[in-house]
Amino acid sequence: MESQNAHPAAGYSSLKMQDAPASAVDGHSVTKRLQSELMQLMMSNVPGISAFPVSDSNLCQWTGTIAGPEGTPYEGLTYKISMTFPANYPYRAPVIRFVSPMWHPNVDMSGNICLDILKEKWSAIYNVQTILLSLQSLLGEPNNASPLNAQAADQWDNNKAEYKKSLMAHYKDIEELADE
Amino acid sequence: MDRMPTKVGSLYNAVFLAPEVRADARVMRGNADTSAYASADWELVTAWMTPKALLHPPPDYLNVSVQRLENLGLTSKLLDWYIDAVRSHFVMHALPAVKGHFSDPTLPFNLQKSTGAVQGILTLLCDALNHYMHPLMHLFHDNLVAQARFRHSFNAMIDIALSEYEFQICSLMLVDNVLSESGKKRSTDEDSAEEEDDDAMMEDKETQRHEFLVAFRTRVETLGVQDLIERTVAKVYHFFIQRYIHENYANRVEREEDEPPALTELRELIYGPIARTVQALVREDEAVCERMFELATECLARLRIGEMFNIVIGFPDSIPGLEDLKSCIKTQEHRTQLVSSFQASCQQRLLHCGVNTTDIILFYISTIKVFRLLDPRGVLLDKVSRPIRRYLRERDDTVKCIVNGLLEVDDPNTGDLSELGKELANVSGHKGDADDDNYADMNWVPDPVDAAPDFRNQRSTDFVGEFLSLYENKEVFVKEIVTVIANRLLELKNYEIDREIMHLELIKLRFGEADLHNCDVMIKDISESKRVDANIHDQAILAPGIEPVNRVFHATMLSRLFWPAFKNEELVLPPEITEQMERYAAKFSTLKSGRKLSWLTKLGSVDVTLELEDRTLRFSVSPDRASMIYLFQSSSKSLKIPVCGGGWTDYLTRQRVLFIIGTLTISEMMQRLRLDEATTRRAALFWVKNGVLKEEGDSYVLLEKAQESTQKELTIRFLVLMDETAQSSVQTAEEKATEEMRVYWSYIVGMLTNLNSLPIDRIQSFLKMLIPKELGYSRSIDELRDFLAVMIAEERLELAAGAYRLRK
Repeated sequence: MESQNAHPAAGYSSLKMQDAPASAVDGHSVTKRLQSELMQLMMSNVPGISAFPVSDSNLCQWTGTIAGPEGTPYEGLTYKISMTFPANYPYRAPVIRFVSPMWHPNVDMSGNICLDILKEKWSAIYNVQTILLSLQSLLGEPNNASPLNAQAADQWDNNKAEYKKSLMAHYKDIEELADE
Repeated sequence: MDRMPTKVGSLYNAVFLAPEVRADARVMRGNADTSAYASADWELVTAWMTPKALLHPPPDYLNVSVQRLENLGLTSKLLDWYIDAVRSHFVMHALPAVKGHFSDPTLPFNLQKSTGAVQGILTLLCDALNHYMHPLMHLFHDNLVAQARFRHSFNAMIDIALSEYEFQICSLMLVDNVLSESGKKRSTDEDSAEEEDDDAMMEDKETQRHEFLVAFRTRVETLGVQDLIERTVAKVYHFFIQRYIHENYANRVEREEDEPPALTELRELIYGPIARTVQALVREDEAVCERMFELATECLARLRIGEMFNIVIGFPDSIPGLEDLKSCIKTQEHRTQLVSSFQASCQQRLLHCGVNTTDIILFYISTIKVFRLLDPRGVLLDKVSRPIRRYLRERDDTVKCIVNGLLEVDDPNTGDLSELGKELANVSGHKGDADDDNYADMNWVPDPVDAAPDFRNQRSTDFVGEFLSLYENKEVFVKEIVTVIANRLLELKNYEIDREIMHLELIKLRFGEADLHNCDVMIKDISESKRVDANIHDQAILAPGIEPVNRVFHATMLSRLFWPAFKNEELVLPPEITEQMERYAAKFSTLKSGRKLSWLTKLGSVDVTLELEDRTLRFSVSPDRASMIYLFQSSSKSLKIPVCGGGWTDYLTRQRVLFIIGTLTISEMMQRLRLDEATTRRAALFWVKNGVLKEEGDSYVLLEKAQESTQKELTIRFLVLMDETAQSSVQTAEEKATEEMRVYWSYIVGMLTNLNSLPIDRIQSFLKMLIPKELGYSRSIDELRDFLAVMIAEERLELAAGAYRLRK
């Protein structure tokens, strides 16, 4: 797994590269990769998930939209996320954060997410679409073993009605979010 | 004024009755006192001077009287009196006589009478002048001041006499006639060249005319009215030359080889007969000719400027007319006028929906050539071509027409534009883009003052370049070119790619290697196919267990990724063919292990021989048509021999058949061929057109015996269906555009979902930046706006405060 995540150019001098990996990789290939990922995302048109670059000049900053999956407390709600891709993407995971206030065992109050594939289990074979799908499924299946939001985890396990209440108390519609 | 004539009249009578007697009486009175003498002298002199019918030399004593009056300082008074007397006399007698010439009401319409009147009046006035000058010449012979004073007031009288409206008309006619005569001379000379008598007569006439002119001029000079005549001549000349040029040069832009240019002809005319005439009439002056020639040039320039549109249409036969124009155009004003008049004609006659795109392109080619000749700097061309280019960009089929022209495609829908292809082949004409930054160019001159701010200097590019610069990028052409080349390669029967290679090389010179990389692969596919096909047919490398493929069955192997998208349509082929295909595919797999053929059954061509009861027909048709006619063959009695071909799924069915199934309906055929209705009908109509099938209601019947009538009945229907040849097996640019827009739409949905609402320029720049180059986004912001407007109409978008957002 480790070797898979190393930039091929950095292969035989991985020790040196570790200190300054971001600047050493040229930005062009990142742009190209992101462009093709965007195209793939646009063409596959999976319902409920979507993402797009924030500006046409910087492809490394995206914003995404995730619709709550059916049959979960999040059904009918829409959440906004921000995605920041490092210069050596896809060899490093993108930084992903919920912009909408989120009530979820694995998401803290500032929107930071605890998801293994975004941390130690990141692999270069993942892409924007898989990340979005993972996040969407995370909403319905939280990992309560290592919660960031202990209260939410507790509610999820013991009192679903209370969970939904807290959830709605925190929820902000995308429209309102955009107005702020 | 009333009083005057009577007074003069009485004096006149008194003197006229007995001048001699009275004079004697005065002399006899002798030396009386001075005042008495003065009064007597006055009476004596005035009596003699009073204008009268007969002119006498003055008696001797009169000189004495004049001398005495002069001594008394009365000369000036005497002259005043005389001028007064002459004026009265002129009004009484000369003026009515002048007017008498105009009493004939038909005068202004009759040349002879008009000439007579003018001559008569001039003679009359000359006589009057002589008459009135007579006393002065005798009594004041040395007194030039007195004579000048008299002439001065007499000139005023002449002016009054000649200012009559009728006189002006008559003199205009006279001069006009004289000029026309001299202008006509050339042609009459030619006509009567053979007859010497005529020549002599002409010469005689010429002499007469000259004499007449000299006489005329003498009178004019005597009267001192040259100015008046000059004005008339100028006026007449102006109309004359306009008329002359319109009569002789209007709509005559072509010329015989030995004919001199119009301007040379005009110069000869003006400096020759016209100059002689005018000089005879007015005065000898080189500057006059110069001025007259300038006027003629101007007139010719205006004429040709108005005819520019026809010159372009008539090119290259109209080159002489163009040369006229080129030598006439001198001023900035002419150039401006040329541009605006040409643009107006284009707008009116060319740039509307009634004109074929092909015709517009041909016209544009001519325009380029014509204006290049006229103005090698290209400034005029730049200006006049803008509206044409703008219009061409609006047309859907412009690209198709141009590419067909470049590749010399023979397509009845686009007409013949092979000129483009020829020009393309003319490699030497193309020297690459003009390099304006060449500082070593010693012949560099700045752009002319009337060049537009964004005028591009394009001297060294030929007209193909003009077309290729029609759109902002060349990609639109590249796409079309790839489509056309793909189609043509698919139509090949013998893997003969030389012609395509040649075209491709020429195209590459313009478009560069990179964009046409796919074409290289396509061509390589064909040559590779030739080799593979030969191997498959080679009995020596016969694979065990596989029957040999019939020698007439050939296939082309395509690298799918490098060819344009194919229409994925199904077609059921005859079993004999399918069998050959399976064998072919099996052999291919043995030759190229690990690779498998996937057939595109609708592409290719089939040579079919139909043996009917009374005739044998041969066709080279598309697989769907061949399969259709195969349906009419009785499977049990046919000798199935697939025969020759080339291309993708090429095969030939030799139908040695007794056609038993005589009738099939459209739906039956559709079902058995698995084709859609449109294609089926088109294929059926092809056979109907060729007299093989006959339409009966919704069914088609095979005609074992030829029927004459079928042709005529169906002519009209074929006109409607003529577009069948335009059917392309490769996705057309239009279909591609629709598909592209679908892609763009998903991007737009993506960005609006995540970014809420965006103004149009942000959307445009997103699309430009984010859509990968392979797909290419080349729409203008206006096209995007149109597209978004459609989406708004479909209630998928809404526009608020200049920003678009998705409708919930």
